Amino acid sequence: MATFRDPIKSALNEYYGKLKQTVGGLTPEELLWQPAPESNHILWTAWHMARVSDRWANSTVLGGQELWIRDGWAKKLGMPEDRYGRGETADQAKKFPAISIALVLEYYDAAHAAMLAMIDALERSDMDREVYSEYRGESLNIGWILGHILTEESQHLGQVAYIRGMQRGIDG
Amino acid sequence: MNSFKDSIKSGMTEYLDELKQKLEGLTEAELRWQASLDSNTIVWLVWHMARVEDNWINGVIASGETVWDSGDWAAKTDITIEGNGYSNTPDEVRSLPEVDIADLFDYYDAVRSAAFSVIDNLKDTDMSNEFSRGGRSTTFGWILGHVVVEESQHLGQVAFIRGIIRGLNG
Repeated sequence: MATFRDPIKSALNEYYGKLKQTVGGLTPEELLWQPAPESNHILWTAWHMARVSDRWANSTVLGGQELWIRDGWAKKLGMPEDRYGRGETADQAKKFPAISIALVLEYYDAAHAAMLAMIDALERSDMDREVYSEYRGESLNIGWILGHILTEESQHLGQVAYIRGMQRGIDG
Repeated sequence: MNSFKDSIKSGMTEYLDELKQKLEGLTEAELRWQASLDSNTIVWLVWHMARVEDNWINGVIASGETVWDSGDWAAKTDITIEGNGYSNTPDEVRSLPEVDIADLFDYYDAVRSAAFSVIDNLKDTDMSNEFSRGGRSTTFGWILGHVVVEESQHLGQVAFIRGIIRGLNG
């Protein structure tokens, strides 16, 4: 039966599907290109989006370990286990390691699947339940978190599309 | 919050509130600055975001008149572009008339108030309602999810353009 869970799952699949399309065919230089010295590049943004999904679903809402750590994605990508992206400096974006976008998307596939499973398992009554977000230092209710995931991830997708557009033009 | 519907409304509240924050203090030149010749400006994006939400929710889902039409906002803003901005050319983006950003937010607030009434009246089972246009069919469930994704994408672009102009903490 149709429910309001449907638009949430549909939106999750929409932004993730569009991200994969939007990074398609980009060269390593294009992935690391910064339009201004303090701007994020596409590779950083795609990696951060995967980290955002992983943390909200597996750690904050489900109270378990991030796949980044549990399944060794930090090691596979040669990055610190505590690196997440929030509040990073311009220098950190600039010095970001030239990791494989394919590997980032493999990690994101796993995080996205966990996110969808989490949504399926939530009940209406969970929406009011508060969970503690360690890195933000605040308690948030799950209903708010679901809306936030959609807006945060989609904002970053919009940035990826915009940076691609700056490099390749409107039809690139 | 006690339903998935509230999460959708919460996401919508979040992107509009954040958009208003991101616009604070920007000059007319910054609002109309293009990152490249094919790139959208902040003012065009704000107008487009309001039109998109109006069309999808007040136009399509409620199958009613948009607030743009019922409130005569084309005349109020002198924006004569037909449609909601979808597939506008770079020339059209550049030629958006000078418009008071406060007027655009008045329009957006009116859109939002109407849109929330529409959403409040939707039931779970409405999510499978179909909408067809130009040989393509989709559901109300898809449309609601899409509105959050599309609008948030544009908000992310506004924030990014502001960052290009003003730097990380601008």
